[in-house]
Amino acid sequence: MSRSLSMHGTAKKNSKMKRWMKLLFRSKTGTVGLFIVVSIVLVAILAPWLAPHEPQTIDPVNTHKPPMWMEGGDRSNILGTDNLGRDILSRIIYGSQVSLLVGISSVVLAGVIGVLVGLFTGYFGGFLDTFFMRLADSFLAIPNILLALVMLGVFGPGLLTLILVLGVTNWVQYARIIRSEVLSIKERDFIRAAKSIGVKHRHIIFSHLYPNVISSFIVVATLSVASTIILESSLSFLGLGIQPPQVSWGTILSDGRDYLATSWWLATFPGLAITISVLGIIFLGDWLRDILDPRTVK
Amino acid sequence: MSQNPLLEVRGLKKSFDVTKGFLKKEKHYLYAVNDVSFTLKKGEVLGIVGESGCGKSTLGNLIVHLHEPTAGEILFEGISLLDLPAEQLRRRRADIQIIFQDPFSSLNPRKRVFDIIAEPLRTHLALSKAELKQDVLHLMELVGLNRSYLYRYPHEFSGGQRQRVGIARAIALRPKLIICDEPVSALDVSIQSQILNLLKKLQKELQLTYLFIAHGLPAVKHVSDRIAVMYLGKIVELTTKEKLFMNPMHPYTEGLLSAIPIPDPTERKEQRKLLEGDIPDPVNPPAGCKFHPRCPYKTEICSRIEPEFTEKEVGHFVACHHPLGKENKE
Amino acid sequence: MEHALLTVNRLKTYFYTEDGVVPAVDDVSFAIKKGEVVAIVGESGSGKSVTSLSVMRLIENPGKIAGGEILFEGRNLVDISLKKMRELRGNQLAMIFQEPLTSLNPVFTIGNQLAESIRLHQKKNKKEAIKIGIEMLEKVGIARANQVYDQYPHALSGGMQQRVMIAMALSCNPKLLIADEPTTALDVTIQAQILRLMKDLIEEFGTSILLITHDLGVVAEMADQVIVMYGGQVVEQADVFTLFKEPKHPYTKGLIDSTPKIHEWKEELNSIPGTVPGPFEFPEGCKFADRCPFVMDKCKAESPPVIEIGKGHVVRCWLHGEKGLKLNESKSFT
Repeated sequence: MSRSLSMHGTAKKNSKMKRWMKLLFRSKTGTVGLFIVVSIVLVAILAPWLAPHEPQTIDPVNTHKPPMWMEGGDRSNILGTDNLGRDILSRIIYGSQVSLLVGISSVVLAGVIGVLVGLFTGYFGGFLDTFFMRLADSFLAIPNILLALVMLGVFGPGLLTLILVLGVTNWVQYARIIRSEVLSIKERDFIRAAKSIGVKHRHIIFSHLYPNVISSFIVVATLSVASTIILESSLSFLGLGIQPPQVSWGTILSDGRDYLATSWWLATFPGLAITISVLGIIFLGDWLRDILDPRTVK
Repeated sequence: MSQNPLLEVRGLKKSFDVTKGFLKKEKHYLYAVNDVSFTLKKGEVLGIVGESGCGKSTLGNLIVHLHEPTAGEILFEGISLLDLPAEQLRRRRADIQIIFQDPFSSLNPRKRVFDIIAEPLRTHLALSKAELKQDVLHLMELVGLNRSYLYRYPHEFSGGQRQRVGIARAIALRPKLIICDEPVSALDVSIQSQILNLLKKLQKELQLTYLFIAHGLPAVKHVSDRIAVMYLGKIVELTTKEKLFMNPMHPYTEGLLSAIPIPDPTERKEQRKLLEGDIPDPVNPPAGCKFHPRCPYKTEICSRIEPEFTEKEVGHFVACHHPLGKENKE
Repeated sequence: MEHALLTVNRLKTYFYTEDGVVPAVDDVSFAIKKGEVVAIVGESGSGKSVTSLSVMRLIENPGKIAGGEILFEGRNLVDISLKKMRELRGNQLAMIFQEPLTSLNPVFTIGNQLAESIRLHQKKNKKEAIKIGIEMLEKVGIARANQVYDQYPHALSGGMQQRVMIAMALSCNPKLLIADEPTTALDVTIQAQILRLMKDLIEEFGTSILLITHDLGVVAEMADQVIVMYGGQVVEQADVFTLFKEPKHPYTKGLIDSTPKIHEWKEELNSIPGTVPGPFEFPEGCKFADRCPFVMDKCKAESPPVIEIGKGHVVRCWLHGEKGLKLNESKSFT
């Protein structure tokens, strides 16, 4: 059932947009976050046109070329080249495609599983709860990376499996957070009011509980986009993640690790890319949490 | 007056498990409601009064079926709600509604007033959007809320206005019975009487039946026809409000009445008798009459034998070995 | 004129929030004599609690005492150092709160906390502190004080916890006890016990009490002087008998009328229309104007001054004209 009345539909939509915009521009970090995220998404989409070189092209003559502003660098490779003479900037631009895709979609996947499990186990309790929480415990008992390794080993490496594996291994943290939120919210009187009205369980879960727990999810989720991007790089480093010639920030970072002492730019720039985009996502997440709470605007 | 009672409660019990001890786990039972029986006629208001731990709120929750009783029966229009299949029970819920104590926790902070009041209508009736809006506006008018509040969120309101939203939600389906669970105790003094007047007005206009729960006698006095006084899970006295205030028979009722501070400095109660002692731990209630450790009139029998809840005068039920009044008269 | 123990003079406590300045306490003056019980009555948002916290200098950011003075035995509490203030608190000035459980530390025994405060303020050794502690528990009517001394706060009922709080507050023999809704969280039979206890203790110790409450029944039972607050301002002040007999401010009248009375049978309860406005929603002029049944044009335009209409009976209302002494201008009144 729609939340708004048709006669008020358009007016309300407008006012909602206005409210969001007002909130966005009132919060400086929100504006910055949105700017960063939009830029990175655009870079990812427009990679073939933006990148000055092909990311895989090897240039044995120009290996370890420093960035243009350093001695020995020049304008053809703005951020320098790596040990095989590949252009770092182009690799970072192309790498944004995979990193964003893996980082965001695996968090979304883990989030959907975790939020659903958390909502249902917290609300119904009983056997369902015991079962999933013991399952969650066993997930926690095994290090994520080990679990991911085993699963990737079984299913074979690749982009899609990587997303699936990261999604499936990370649901536990969301499930636990959402469940504990649900446990406290379901004792509030408005949930009891809904029950006493005879509202169906499904409706209570999605219409009453969900809007009240989603902000905690957003906070945790935006923070874990970062760790997922790093986890992807570790897996790729072990040869179980992204397979060449595909490139991600994680793979560039781990490729560059060996040369940190001699050619620092190999690892620094992809690291910087990760940091900036993660900050952008966190800022955006904060803003999202605010607009989802009616209390923040009068 | 009338045929069958709207609500009949027979021997209702509800116990909760309380586990004590860290290494040596001992299971204890807390009887929040312990063998409670009463009937409620259509159009009547029964006040339930008692201090913390007396089980009054649990009783309310049992009748709305937010808890499963441990034993006993709840007959609503002659039908046992406990025996109904889930889907029928869900439909029946439209007939019994509840108004909560805390207006800050009883409204979903993420929903607008319109959605809060419309929820029961959406759940049980298939209305068009225009009808729904019209109904909600009508309800808002009934409870004295300005139409312009329709799309506001709960946090924009004061406690009294929130409570009005809660009342509108409760009467939306024209229920036959409303449980008022301490509806004014969280409100400011000047607002309490507004809400009490509103509840009484609605009760008359819509011919509602209330089970009105409160921790103090002053709050129930205005709306109730009869009043039941609870102590440690049991009803100790049940009669019309006039009899209860003029001629209380149970020593606990007398104590409750004399403890109420009177807003008149010329009537300070230096000489008045006050109840001694604390409310006992409900997990380890005293033997015999549960009130005897605090009772100024106790005798030897009170600590051994639990008094029966019987009709001592017409329409005046008391559970006491030495009911007051009678002895004075004789 | 008898010397007052505490004189609050044109106190202003403002909260500087993001949305603007909230005058939580706006030009409040009163005095407490030795052995006197002064009650501040008001609803939520009236500023009654902020007034008491200001006296204790317990106002936290973004709140600030923006003006006025709080004279305690001649010393201005607004100006003295926080170190001096800490010495006064718990020693000369003590406070009890509505929720006793939140004011007691759950991980220490009752005795532990009681003895600590006695040792801190009275410089007694451990043995003496224990002895005084147990004596205090007995004084506040706790049976088996020896056992309770070794118990943890959660093991006690609400009434017992409040007794412990009172014992702690009185253990250092303070001159002024500030009680912020001390019985609101308690059951009515327990409330009656605690009120009686407080009365007995005033007599025994000669402590002055500043009682903060919303319940006129409690006021009638306990107070000598009553201050009625609304929207951060004192709207009426009088001795308790005068106030209940001849309330002059419409708000005071409304409060008294809407307090349920046990032996009154009415079809409809009296009430004050409207709701208590939020911090930014008070009207211009008189703050009570939009709820007042006697409102005049003047009330909406101009804030009424505080005038004295009888001995020690002051009211802030245009209904009583501009005659009488304008207390806004006078330095203090006791």
